[in-house]
Amino acid sequence: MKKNLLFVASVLMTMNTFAQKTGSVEIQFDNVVGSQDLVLKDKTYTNANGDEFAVSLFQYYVSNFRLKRKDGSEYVVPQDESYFLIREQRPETQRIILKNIPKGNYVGVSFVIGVDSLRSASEVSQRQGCLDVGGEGKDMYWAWNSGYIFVKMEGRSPQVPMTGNRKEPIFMYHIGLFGGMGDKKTLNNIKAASLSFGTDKVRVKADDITRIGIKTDASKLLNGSTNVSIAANPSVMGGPYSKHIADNYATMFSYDGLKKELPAGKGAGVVGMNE
Amino acid sequence: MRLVRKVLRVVMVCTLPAGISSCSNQSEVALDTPAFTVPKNFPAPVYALDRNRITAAGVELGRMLFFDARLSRDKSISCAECHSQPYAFTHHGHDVSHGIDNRVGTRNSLPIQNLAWSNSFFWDGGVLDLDLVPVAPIENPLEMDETLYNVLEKLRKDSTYPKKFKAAFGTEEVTTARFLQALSQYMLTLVSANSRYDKYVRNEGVTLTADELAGKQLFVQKGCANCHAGELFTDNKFRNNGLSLAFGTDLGRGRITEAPQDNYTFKVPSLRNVGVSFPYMHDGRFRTLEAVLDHYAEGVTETPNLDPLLKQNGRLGIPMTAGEKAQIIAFLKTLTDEEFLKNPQFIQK
Ligand code: HEC
Ligand code: HEC
Repeated sequence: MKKNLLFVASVLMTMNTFAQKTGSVEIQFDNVVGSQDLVLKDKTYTNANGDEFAVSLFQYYVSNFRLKRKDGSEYVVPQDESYFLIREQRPETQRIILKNIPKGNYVGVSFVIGVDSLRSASEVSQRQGCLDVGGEGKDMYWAWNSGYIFVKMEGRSPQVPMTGNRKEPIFMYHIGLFGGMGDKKTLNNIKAASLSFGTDKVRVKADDITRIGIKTDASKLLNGSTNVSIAANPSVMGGPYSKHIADNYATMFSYDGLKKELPAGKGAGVVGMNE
Repeated sequence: MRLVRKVLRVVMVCTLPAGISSCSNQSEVALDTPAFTVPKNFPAPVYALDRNRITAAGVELGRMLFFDARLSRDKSISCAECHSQPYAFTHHGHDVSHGIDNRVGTRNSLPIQNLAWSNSFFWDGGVLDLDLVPVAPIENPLEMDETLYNVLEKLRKDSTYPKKFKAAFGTEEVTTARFLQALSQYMLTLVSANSRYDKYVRNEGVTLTADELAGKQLFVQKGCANCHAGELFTDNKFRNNGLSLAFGTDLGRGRITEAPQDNYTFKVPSLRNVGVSFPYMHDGRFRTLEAVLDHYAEGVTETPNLDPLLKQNGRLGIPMTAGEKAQIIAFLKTLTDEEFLKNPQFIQK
């Protein structure tokens, strides 16, 4: 009995010391349009199709983070701490913190663009923080075809024809659809990003924060395997065409180097489901 | 488990003869507990009852919410408005539902009954979890035109709701999950299983007339039961029963799946209480059961994805004589459950 207790105690101690050998990884998201910074409303850009556009809203879910080691093994961030909603309007959401990362060297990061199908269909009590459809996630959810909007971009373009009952030249891209459940299948627009840190030495040290940057190119919704004509597709919300935009934005993330601590006042950064 | 036991104890205490002083407070919760039980002739429920345990306080909160017009933007319309008990919780007499500012919806309201046995909701199955259903009417501009976020804020500021949340869930915190689970708890208790048909099949001393029995047989022989299957009278599938498209262009299930082979298919509705839930079909195009039977006999139209069961041996529809139609209707009316339609526990006093 005593022996057992001792054994348990020593296991607990090693677990404890093991548990302490972790640090955090902060990811700073920088939303851009091609080579330019994304400025909401006031700046006009041009897409590959030649349409001019200004962006009034840009936000997206990223989830299910994994950090990759040189030997190919991965550290998988526990799911409950791995959902984030990045909003251009809210700088504090552009800085996310992955905690309890085992110390060591990492060569890349991968994540889901959107919300994985399991969580998309999960019970309501599992939808906390940015996934709370009556809270932080309220504008990223479709109630009638139940599921999250993964990526949302809205804005204006002079190319949008003023037909039907459209009163302003606005475009809206609300892209979601997680594939449905069981025999109830729908389109599946869940995409994944996998970014290499290249030659950068990304080292996680115990009780320390390692900071990396990721650039998100909003113009990739419109440019890529399908060059979107805003005039022909000013409003895509679900629908078969959403597949093309999702295929496009699958490439919108790129690794942006090691980063320094952000100046105070840029928000505390968000953890977990990012309340 | 502990919660359940507690509820039971309260019920026991309160059902003792009057005179127990502390009872009046609790009895509110306890006396009108419409417990959820699985009727003998029903299959096992599909709703995950273990993750949202039904309690008296949860049901009471859900019922309050269901009858509360504050769930709509201008406090003008409650869930119960479009889901009214005497009509099996449908919108009485409306082909398509009317919502806030009298805006007209696009679909006929569905009954709220036996939802624990459903694995998809709405005519197109766009929602796969009962708990998530209420977000749709609350946020639909043609229905309640509110946001769930605002509703929760209203409830948090209310003088009674936080207490009700505490009674149901242990603390006064008003969260999305609790709000939705309470509504589900109430809706799950709306079980209709005491029609004359039920009492007949359960051998509870009820007999059916010769016409009703003939109708019951015809319902199977003519193939209605292939789609309106089992004790719930639905196979929970999406099918096209040949309604003419002249009426509208609702793609039904196709709108959800984006798959052309699902266009114009709709959830096979249960036929329980169909005697009182008129009008019929997703767009409420038929006002009587006679019109529905005429449709199956003579009106089935060859539209894309028409169910093959309604085109056998090259003939559209299901041949039926006038007498057979009348007998099937007589049978359908045995599915009317007066106890369910009049149960005082289901309404907010
Ligand atoms: C303006 C009328 C209206 C209001 C208000 C309304 N509903 Fe409905 N309800 C409908 C209609 C119409 C349908 C069918 C819609 C469809 O299939 O697209 C429906 C369907 C449903 C269903 C699906 C039933 C099934 O078997 O698939 C449920 C559950 C439901 N409503 C619950 C509620 C709740 C809870 C509320 C209040 C939060 C509510 N409704 C408010 C009109 C309304
Ligand atoms: C191929 C499958 C199929 C068969 C066979 C079938 N139905 Fe239906 N039934 C449906 C579907 C699907 C709907 C809903 C269609 C819609 O609204 O678009 C429906 C709707 C109804 C409704 C309206 C219910 C409501 O609440 O609006 C009634 C009543 C009905 N059927 C009775 C019958 C009878 C009686 C028969 C046999 C003569 C029959 N059905 C055969 C699939 C079927």
